[in-house]
Amino acid sequence: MRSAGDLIAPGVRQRVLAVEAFLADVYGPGRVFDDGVLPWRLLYTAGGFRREAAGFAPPNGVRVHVASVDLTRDDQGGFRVLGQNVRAPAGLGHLIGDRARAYTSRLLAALRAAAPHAPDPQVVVLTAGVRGPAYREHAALARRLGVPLVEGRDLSCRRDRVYANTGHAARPVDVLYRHVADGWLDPLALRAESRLGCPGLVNAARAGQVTIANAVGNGIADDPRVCVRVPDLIRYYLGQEPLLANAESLRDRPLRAYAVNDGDEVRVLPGPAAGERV
Amino acid sequence: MSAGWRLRISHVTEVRYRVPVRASFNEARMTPLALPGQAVLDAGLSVRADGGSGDVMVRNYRDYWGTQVSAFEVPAAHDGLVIEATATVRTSGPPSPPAGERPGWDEIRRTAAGGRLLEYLLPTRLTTLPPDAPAGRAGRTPDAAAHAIAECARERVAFVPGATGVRTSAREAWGQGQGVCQDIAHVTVSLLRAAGLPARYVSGYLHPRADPAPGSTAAGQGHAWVEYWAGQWTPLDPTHGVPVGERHVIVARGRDYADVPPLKGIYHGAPDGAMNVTVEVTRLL
Repeated sequence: MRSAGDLIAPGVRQRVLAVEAFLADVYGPGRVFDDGVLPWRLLYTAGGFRREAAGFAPPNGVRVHVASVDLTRDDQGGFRVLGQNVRAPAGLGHLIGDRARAYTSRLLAALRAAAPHAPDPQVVVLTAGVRGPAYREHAALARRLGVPLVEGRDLSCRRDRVYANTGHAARPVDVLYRHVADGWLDPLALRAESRLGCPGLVNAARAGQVTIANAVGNGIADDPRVCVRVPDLIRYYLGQEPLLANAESLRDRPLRAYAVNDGDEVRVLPGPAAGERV
Repeated sequence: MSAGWRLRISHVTEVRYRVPVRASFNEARMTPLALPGQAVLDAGLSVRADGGSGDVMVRNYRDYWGTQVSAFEVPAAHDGLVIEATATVRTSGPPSPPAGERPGWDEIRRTAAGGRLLEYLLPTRLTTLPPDAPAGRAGRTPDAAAHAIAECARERVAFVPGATGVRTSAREAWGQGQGVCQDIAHVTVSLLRAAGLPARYVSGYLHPRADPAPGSTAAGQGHAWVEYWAGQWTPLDPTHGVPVGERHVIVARGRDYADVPPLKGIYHGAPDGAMNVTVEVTRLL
């Protein structure tokens, strides 16, 4: 008998690949709008669209390093998509047991695969701080990944390189696995009043010297008006029929699947089992 | 068509801090665009930090709007910054419109609603329409309406330096009836969009005299004007009510000032820096 994961994984993988192609298009040529698949009005009125992220691509082409996709059962026992999060999916720090170990090693491999250049890349987890609601989860995640947990004030930029002051010396950062929302990442490029990020981060990413995971500007793909059109995006970018349909109603309790994208492959893991916290 | 002018621009920004600051990150948008009617012969931007660090490395990129951005940082403590942007530009004014009829309101609306021009039709925080603002198109062609709107904005907002700040919105400037070129441009852009014309904010330089002798230097100014789309982008200078031509040098275009600030930055230190800006424009030829 096939497990739920076997049914879900191909559909989630397909969805993530379509969203990747969409984001590359949004921050590149904009073909999907020129071709009339989605209206320009949607882009220009979407809060998640970040003009600061336009015109440059991340090192291994990946903007969605981690995705979560919420699924529900339909009447026939199939799975349907309720929504997705390709900004900064939460809940990974709460996974436990064997699944957490498997997931963590894949996540670390995916983050390292996204590094700009270093042979032994430094990954750090950026949290909004001890007062943030998800601090304990971020701390658990960093511990499992075996990488430093940092706050914005621990980071500094110098000539487009990002450094983390982790107690001893400032060490260069290659991949910033961030749990701080777009607007608060960089007071030079984004919200000037932010103290949660570090000035110069966006320009360091633009220069290809650091990978921000997930990428700045992914929120456009989570806009509900885009989510409902992902099946069309799958047809447009991949030339395939969607394997997972969108849900038409919100009747059932959602399950969740996580996807990790290392640029070569999108690996999908089931979400928490019953009783696990998310 | 005239051979155009050759203009030399020197734009020096001096910032002084009473108490030294550090970890200063900045972006300047001061380099003229290469455009039809505007050839950039040379351009450069240098930064000096006073009190230690000396020359500062500047890195350039083009932003979403096509503007050349010069990014620089001063990590160490310093008590002043001098940013010197220079450029030599040959200006011959905007290209003349192609022969034939200009599009009417319906055609402009159809073209703008479905494409990239829509970005210039939607209001922004700085270009929301004043609630009592007049509707600008009744019975007029788009070009006539645009000129009437520019005139309306100039009459409504008196040119009073210091009356407003860089974050003043069109609505506020309209309400108080005073402002500078930035405010008059914001009001004009808001009214143009409300009338159904895609409109954008232009940041640049203006030679203060209409017909200066070659070789003479004048105290110039950073300037702002607008462009509206009626089949092609068409400039208007609502502050001065003069044709946009050889006197105008375009640096950046966006939805409003926030897309094209000449200088923005952030640093560690007390927020009491004093800024002094000197712009000199020399007509060389």
